[in-house]
Amino acid sequence: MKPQFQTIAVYQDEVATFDYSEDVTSTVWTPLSSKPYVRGEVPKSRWNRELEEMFNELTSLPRGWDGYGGKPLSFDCAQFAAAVVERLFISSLDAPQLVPVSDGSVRLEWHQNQYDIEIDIEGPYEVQAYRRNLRSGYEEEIEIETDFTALAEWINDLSEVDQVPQAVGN
Amino acid sequence: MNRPAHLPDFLDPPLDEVVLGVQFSPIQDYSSVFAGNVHSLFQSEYPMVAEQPLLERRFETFGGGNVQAGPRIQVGQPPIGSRLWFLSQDENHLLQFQADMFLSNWRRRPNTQQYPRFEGLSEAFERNLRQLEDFFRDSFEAKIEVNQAEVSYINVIPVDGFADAEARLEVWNGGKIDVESVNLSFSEIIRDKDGKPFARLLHQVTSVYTMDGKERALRLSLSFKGKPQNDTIGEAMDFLGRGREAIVLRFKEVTTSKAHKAWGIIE
Amino acid sequence: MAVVPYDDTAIENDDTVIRRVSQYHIVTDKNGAEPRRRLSSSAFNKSEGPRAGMSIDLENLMFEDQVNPREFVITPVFTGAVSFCAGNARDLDLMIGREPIMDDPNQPDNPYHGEVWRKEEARKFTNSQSKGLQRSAKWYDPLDGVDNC
Repeated sequence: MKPQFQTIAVYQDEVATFDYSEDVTSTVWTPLSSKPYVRGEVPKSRWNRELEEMFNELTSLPRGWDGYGGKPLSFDCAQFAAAVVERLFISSLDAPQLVPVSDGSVRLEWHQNQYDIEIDIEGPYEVQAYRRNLRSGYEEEIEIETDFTALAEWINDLSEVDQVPQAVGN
Repeated sequence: MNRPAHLPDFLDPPLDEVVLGVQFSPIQDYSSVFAGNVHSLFQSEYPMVAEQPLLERRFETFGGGNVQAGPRIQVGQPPIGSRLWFLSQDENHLLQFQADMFLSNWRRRPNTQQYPRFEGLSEAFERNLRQLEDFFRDSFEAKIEVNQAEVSYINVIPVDGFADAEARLEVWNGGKIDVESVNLSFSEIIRDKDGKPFARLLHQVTSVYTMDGKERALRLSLSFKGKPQNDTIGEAMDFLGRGREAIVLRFKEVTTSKAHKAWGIIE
Repeated sequence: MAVVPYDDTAIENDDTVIRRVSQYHIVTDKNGAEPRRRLSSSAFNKSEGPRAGMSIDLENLMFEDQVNPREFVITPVFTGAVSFCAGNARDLDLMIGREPIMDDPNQPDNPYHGEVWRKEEARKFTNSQSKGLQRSAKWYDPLDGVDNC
């Protein structure tokens, strides 16, 4: 498939300096082009493109959406959840399901390929994840702040499709 | 606060701008109607005000299959408001404020002045940040919960031609190539003593010109960004100190000994 | 939160406790022979605050006031509802008590409101507690085409 964007060296130039803002009229030094920066266009992953509308919906929920005093998804939490989604993205897997929680946080869920994975995004750098392997019955829970390596391994395991799907009775 | 003795020091480094900043959870009841109250906290030293577009929130996370430098993610109802610049009379010092960020910039221009040193900038930044927290506490019963901090050093290194970069930078070997422009970046993951990643050191080299196009320079930017150990201002300041150390050491590594001599390295 | 968490012994183990659920709590589960829609266990978790609990409605109180529980719990916001017994919560080391809501600007009055609390301060219920409540729950007012767990 032809990529949507040209892959070029991209960098994070979000250093909020005096000169490299949108207005460069006062600067002494200016980059080569007349625009402040050559910025590589880094597309969102398919997951975040698919989830964008749901994120917007959940942050717009009315107070009491759960029938009680439930709060909408906080913007802070949504931003971090989207960053986590981006970091975990694997092209061979469906996007997670988003489930709002009454306290204004959000959960990412996958239930497929004989796994249940539930990732509670409680706030920036406050993540609790749960996994159950339906074949073995084995359950595990981890807490994460910045390093999503272990969680990425869970997602990788999830993406390996069974050749012979086995029904699991409830 | 004393400068750590083990850090390289220069009489006249090509330092052009220093940025210290923290990102925090949005203060729930704050709205732009209180912007004047915030400015009044700093008005005596920063009398001038300007508005800028909001800066986007960032979170330094690690691991995972998608290791591209993070795209700008904007989801959910965006915060309303703008970023405010509070500028000093001499225009060398800047405070930047929005509902979820506070930054302090020093720049060498327009009034060329000696670099006030990290210690001075850091003390002033902490004082101003605590003043802001006092305001949030008194007005909204809220505290600043820092979730990201950053320190950046931007150097502007004049060159005759961009192929001369190799005389200044260890990371470049242009040889006899007639280089028109340079645009190089890479990042390094910084780990704590237990091996857990908590920050990135971002390196950027860009070719720049003066407005009249006659003079050229290389802009070397080193940024240390990540999550402090906890959400307090004290830990954020500690993080910034660690970042400064990493940056200064790395600056010496990525620049040549010939350049060090030109900048008056203190042995 | 108006009430300090407590376990109300006047609520007997066999008493029915109602928990409202929303369409947003529905997930698709592709494990099993056919994909099915069911409730997420996140529907069974507490509100914000270390001493906050999980909101519920107490069926017996509504009967005493001759209020139709099914009608009461699905207004003003249309939701579904599940139920479990008070004893199910206690078996999971949780407490259950009354917390009537009156004159709260964020919620309509609810004199039949109660809470399920953890015995200690915590951000959330444990996974065992949430999933335990989910397993105990049966539909009280079902959402169409959705399994309760």
